[in-house]
Amino acid sequence: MLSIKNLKAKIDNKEILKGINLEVKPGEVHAIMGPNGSGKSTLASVLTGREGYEVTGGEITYDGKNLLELSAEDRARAGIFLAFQYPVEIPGVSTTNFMKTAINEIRKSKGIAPMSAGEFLKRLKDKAALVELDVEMTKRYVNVGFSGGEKKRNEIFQMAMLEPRLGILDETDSGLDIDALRIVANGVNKLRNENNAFVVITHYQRLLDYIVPDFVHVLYKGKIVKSGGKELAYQLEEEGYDWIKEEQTVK
Amino acid sequence: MDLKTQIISEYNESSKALKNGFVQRTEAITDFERTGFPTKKNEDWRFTNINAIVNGNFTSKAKSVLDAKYLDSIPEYNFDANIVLIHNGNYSKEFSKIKNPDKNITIANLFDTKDEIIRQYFGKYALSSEGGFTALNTSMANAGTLVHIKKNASLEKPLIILNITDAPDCIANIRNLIVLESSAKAEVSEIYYSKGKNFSNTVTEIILNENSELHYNKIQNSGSDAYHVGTTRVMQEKHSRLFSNTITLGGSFTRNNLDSLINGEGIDCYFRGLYLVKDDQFIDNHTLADHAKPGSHSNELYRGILDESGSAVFNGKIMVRQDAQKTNAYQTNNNILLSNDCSVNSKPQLEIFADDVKCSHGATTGQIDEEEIFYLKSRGIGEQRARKMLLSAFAHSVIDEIKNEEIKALVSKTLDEKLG
Ligand SMILES: Nc1ncnc2c1ncn2[C@@H]1O[C@H](COP(=O)(O)OP(=O)(O)OP(=O)(O)O)[C@@H](O)[C@H]1O
Ligand SMILES: [Mg+2]
Repeated sequence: MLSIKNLKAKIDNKEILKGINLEVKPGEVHAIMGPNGSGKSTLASVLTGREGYEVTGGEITYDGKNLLELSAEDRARAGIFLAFQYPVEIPGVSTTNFMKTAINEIRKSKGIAPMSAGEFLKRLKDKAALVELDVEMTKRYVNVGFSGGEKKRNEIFQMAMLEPRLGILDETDSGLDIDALRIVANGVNKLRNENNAFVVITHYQRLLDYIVPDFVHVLYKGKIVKSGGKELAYQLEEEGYDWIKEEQTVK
Repeated sequence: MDLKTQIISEYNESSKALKNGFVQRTEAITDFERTGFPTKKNEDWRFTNINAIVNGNFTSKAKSVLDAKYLDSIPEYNFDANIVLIHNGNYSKEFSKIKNPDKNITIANLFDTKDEIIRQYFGKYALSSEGGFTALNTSMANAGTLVHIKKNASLEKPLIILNITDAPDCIANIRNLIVLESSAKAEVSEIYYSKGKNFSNTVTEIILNENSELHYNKIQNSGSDAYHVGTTRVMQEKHSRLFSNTITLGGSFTRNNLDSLINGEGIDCYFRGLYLVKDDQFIDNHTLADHAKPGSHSNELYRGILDESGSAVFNGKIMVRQDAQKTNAYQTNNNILLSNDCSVNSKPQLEIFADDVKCSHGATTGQIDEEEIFYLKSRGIGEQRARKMLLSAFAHSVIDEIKNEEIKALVSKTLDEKLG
């Protein structure tokens, strides 16, 4: 479904991604871990088409298409979703209106008529329940005045509403209390099926107790330097990144 | 002939036909002769170029010919409201629709009615000695609306003063007087609607007695060749509440002056405004919240969207006089610039002579936030749609304050069309 080959990217003339390789197949969950500043969010940004990044090498194919040729909105319409590390506040636009517009813009791009009000309302209620979000919250302006944890939960709510094929979660667990972490993880697990896939960026093995990954990758200085199963996350939790850093200097 | 000379000669020709009585026309024309139109040397007009008006060959001699079919094509005319129709500066008795259910309420042609209140208040707060446009208005205006709500009475249906100006090169001088006695309530909207090249010059005096409440909208949605200068002077007595919304979505040149003298305690004074300029439209809002007495509150929010070669001036003055302790006065002006050729001159002025006050002002001028755009796009919303959503949300923080649902819906629709 997603194939990243030797991806290199710059921002402000500084090379951040230095040759990333990653294959994601339907039904899989990949966790990406790595020290601060290693390029995890940058990878998420390049995948979702944020402006300001210059891809200087490599390729990304998604469902056989060259992803880098698509605009940000077309990537979303093709089923890619990013839960932001820092969700954005949109004063004056309610979450309900935001989601209604997004769903209908996605449908329009596929030649599907807008969703009926009834169907939309039902989905809104179902998905709010899935992430245990008070429906009243969706009437408020997007993320305005939300606590850090509420913003993260609102990201997962949006993901549930849009039912993407590839969900990228950038540190959604940071800032969540233990109950919220479980709720959000449960939400993701209920969305999982054999046709979709998730890339979960996190610093903490704890999240991976709930969302059990098929693969764990370590991103360090712009490269995936180690990949393994979920036991790699335990090892990192125990030992930190020093041994990985050492391995790299030896090389 | 320049406009000043032209007006003076038209005044001399027509002064006998103008309705007199309470109006100090002779004084006003003398003031006008003396001061003429303001120039850029005048501090209040420094950034406002009125050459297009002064050299505009306007005339006050236009006639009013109207038919019902034409009026039916104007949505506001059919709103569920009392309608006063001012056409090319003339009061149309025939086409005004006034439902006066109550002897405590007067809605009438200001120049064709006898009400002691007129003598008491006319020209008291908008002085012809203060400036050329007011002097011009006071000398020449022959039509406008008197709204007089007696003590404890409420105007059930809102009033719309629909000003239609469509005769070529017409000057419409329009004069309104709104008096709310104590604990009276009303909603009054001035709506401007024009076709072709013309100039409307309005003066509205508003007196809000103790504990009265006025919702006042001024909606300018004129054609692209309309020139408008409007002055609204409000006098607020204690515990009165003013909610004003000044919305300018059309017109070539618009100058709105809005002043309130906050003359008692427990007063609320809300000034809200929205402007949208494109092409080479120009919009100028000058406001003054003049706190003369202690313990009152004023709150101002003006927002503007500028595109192409549009330009705007915002000049918001908060005056807190020495006596006006415990004043709370807030002001915000936000502008979004969509092109490199548009410009805005935003100038807050705080003059505070009391020490125990809470005052703040903030002005921002910038572009649409690209982070917000990306967030919307990352959910599948197209670029154009995302921009429009954000601009609409920006404008709606003002539009949503309009109480009248029909007017709110119409303004939303117009905005939606203008945002493309
Ligand atoms: N506009 C920019 N100009 C220069 N450097 C930048 C810019 N944006 C990001 N960077 C740098 O790119 C590097 C990677 O940042 P990124 O946000 O991808 O890290 P991360 O792995 O997500 O870290 P964290 O775990 O702290 O979220 C950092 O060193 C950061 O300072
Ligand atoms: Mg990050």
